[in-house]
Amino acid sequence: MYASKRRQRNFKRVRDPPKSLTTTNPSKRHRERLNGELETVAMLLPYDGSTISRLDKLSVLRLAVSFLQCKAHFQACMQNFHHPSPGFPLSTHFYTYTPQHPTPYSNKVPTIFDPRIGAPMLDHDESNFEDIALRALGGFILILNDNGEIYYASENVENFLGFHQSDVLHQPIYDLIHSEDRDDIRQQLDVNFQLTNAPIDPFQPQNAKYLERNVNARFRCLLDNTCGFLRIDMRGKLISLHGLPTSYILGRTNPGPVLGMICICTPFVPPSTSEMTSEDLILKTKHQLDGTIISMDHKVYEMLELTEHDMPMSMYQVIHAEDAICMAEAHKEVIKNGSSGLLVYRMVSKKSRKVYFVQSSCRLFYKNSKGETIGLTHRLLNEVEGTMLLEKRSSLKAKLLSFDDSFLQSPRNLQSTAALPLPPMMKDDEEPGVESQHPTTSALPATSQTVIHRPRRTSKEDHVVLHPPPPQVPPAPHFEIPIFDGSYGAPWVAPEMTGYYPHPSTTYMPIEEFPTHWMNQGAEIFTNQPPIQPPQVPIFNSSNQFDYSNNFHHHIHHQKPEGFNLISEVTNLLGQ
Amino acid sequence: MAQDVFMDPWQTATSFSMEDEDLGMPSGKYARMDDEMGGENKERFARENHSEIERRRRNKMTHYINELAEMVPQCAALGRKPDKLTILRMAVTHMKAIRGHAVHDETSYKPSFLSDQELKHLILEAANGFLFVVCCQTGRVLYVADSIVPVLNLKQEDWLHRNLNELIHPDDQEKIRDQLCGSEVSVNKVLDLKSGSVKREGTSSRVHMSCRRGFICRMRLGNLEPLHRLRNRRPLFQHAGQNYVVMHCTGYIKNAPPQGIDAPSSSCLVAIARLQVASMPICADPTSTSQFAVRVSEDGKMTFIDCKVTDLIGLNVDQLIGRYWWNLAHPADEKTLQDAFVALLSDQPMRLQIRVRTATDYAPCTISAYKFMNPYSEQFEYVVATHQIVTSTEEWNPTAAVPPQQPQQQVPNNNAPFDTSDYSAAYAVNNGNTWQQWADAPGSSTSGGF
Repeated sequence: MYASKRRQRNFKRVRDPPKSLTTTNPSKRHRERLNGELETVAMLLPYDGSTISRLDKLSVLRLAVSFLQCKAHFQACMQNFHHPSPGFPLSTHFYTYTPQHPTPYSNKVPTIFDPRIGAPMLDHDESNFEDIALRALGGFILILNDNGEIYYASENVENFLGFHQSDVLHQPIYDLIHSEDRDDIRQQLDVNFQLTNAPIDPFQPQNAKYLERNVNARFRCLLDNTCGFLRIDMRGKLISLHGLPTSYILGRTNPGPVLGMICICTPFVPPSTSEMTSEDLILKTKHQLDGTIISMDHKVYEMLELTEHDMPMSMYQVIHAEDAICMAEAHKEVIKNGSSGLLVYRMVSKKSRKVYFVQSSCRLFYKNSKGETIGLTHRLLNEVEGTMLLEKRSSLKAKLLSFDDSFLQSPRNLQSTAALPLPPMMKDDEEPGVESQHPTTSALPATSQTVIHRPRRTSKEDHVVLHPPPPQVPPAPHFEIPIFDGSYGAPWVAPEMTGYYPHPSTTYMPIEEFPTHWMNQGAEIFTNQPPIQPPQVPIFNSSNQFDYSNNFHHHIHHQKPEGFNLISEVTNLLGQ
Repeated sequence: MAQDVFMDPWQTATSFSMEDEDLGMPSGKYARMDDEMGGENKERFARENHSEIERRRRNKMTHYINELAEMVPQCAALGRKPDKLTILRMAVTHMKAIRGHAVHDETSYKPSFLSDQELKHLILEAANGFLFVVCCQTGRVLYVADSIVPVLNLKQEDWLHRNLNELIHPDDQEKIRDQLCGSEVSVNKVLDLKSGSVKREGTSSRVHMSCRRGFICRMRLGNLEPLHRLRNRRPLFQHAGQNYVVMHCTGYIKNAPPQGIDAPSSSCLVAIARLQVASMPICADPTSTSQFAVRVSEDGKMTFIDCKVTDLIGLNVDQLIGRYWWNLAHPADEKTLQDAFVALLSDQPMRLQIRVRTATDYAPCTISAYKFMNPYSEQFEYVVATHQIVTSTEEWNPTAAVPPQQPQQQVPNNNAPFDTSDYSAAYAVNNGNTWQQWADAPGSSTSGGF
């Protein structure tokens, strides 16, 4: 079972007035004394009164044990620091456990600078080291013991998962994690996880890298704006835990020092802060079916250093070259299925070439039951978040990733084209008589003649000049060509060139075939035709003579790892 | 753990009130059930189930109390295990003693599980991180935690009140400026962090959507000797005799006018800088530092070049944009690349090895390229070419500190495997940057990223 919200019970902490002696008995008195001590313990827990009043007796004990365990650990570390013993494993750095001398501001953190005074100042509302550090971290700290229990979780876990620190301490982490991810976590707790039978002593400083851990898992999340789970990246390492109860140490199956995992947990999708509403964080762009940008939020223009005069322009021109494939996959997905999962990629601004990491979702919008435009919602990621997600995208486990951003994909944001940014105003040189934009309509704007393949549409009023249908687009070789057609093109081989496309043992992704009539009419996607089974692509190995006809370049990217799937496909598979 | 929902520790540990469980009487849900249902079977079942729950609860409580006994030194010192009441009383004494210490250390009255010092330790352990605060307008460091010492081997005094530009790699200054002076900060004037003068905003600033910040930069290190943790496969960068290491910084911008004072608003960046834990080995990592991508238009000109090109071959994007793709190559390889381009246009993705120019010489390079078409319209968009600079498999000796060898004249020989023994020459770029891998052989483990 998964952890869920506590039932709010109003436990009265006020002690009942003492009953008359005739109604008590020794065991009741004993219980009262026990409860009294438990009360005192509760009051000594490092929480405010209202939190303490919500704790039941078991939790009080649980938290007391947890608190003392943490303190015992640091006590042992400090003792070792002052009197190092050789048997003390994994003493890592030489940072002192007690403040050496009065530092400026003691442990308060200044966050204001008054230029007139020229000195840093403390903000009394925000000067506490712990609050500031945890806020800057962008995640929460987690320590697991080798049993998988939460040895420590920083207070801000509540901001990410909705569980208060007092709810999670000393509880098994597995209750918090999606059942499919639990084994991953268990694996990470094993000291031998990265050693693969090599005779390496992980406790030697030079072997520290074998103790590093990086895993992600879906955590149960109680916050409103998630689907119940939040995918979280956990990065850290194994450390030795000290001061644990003897019964625990002896009760383990593994000998040796107790190793726990400490990690920083950051969500894949950063939570929206209270300062800005979630809508403000979302940018939108509107595209034709071929991806050409029709209109964008003002901020996107600013970001990409473009103006409306640059429009229309292919969206592939603003994307980092290495991410074209990723966008193309999403593009195909949205044309085929009406929406795409989340994709992570980079946009590059035109003049100063600033790189922006973006997380986007695509949706197809229909008119007269035909796909008409594609709407994209975007969330900007900072470099740290973006880099982390890009790494995941290319990792072998990418096909198992699914994460949801309910803001990007919420119906509220993508319900209708009305939610999408307005197209630019008419230009003077455009055809007279063509409908000019009413800000309230959601029709496609008429555009200049210079762009080919842009279907013209009528507006709601009827005085629009109809233009001839767009020229027939020849069927794409990718979508239709039979796999073994050797006539596609004779391979060109230069004598001094190793013109091979190395892919020794990778299965190509099956080519999805589109219904043939789709190409002729331009956008008729959803018919009642049954899906065509994609032909199986043979495995390419280096012993094959290279056959260019198999080479649908942007379907199969040499950098794409085996079995790479779009995130949305994975989401559907996992069916949360 | 049994799937008994009532023993689910996440829910209220008991459905009974405190007083009721003391009396051992059924109450709460089951009491109501008894009244409502009335059926004797259900009553018995409820009672049995209930006593099982009750028993498990008591066991758990005993278990915790026993654990508590082990955690409390006075208890452990006793010959035999004391009774519950004594354990609790001793626990109270112990906790008071601990809390007492905490109050002396910190002036804040806010209760917290860990002391600031302990939290700093955890941040160090988990992420090799330290907290710092920088004023956005001036770039001056307002605060840095003492946990900077084990990370960079610098003292607090080395950072405090200094300009951040002095503490990071010169090539990252522009990026830092972007993070400090983004659109969230209302400045029309920009402090030129290099010259110290204030000037009008010339180039466009970076767009930020919120006050959160996250960026990667290279920070200057102190003496390398004690920093054994850096042996963990972190590439170091050198510039003007100083060493720099890649740090991930996450934090937020705090905008604040001082309370009740009519003063110009100030902004500060509050961030934690951390040595990123090396990720799992990844193949084809787009964030790999040894490759750069190029976009080539139909006429053969480069319309996009990844800015990593500067670190890898020492040429600026400005020098290359708009030039023909084959201008990148060694003169003897130009025709090869040009022919490859023509082949690419007729739908033949390929991989080839040529030498590319660097600022001073040529470097062996593997290029993977393909023609990218719009998936809907089948229009040609561009050719994407990824250039992988071939790295040596020789092990670096970091203590040797040998300056890069002078570039040798390479005899063009397209058929022979490239001689990579002097690949150091490939990294001799004109502003004196070199980089060396600390301890481990490059290419043997991760992609060389952070």
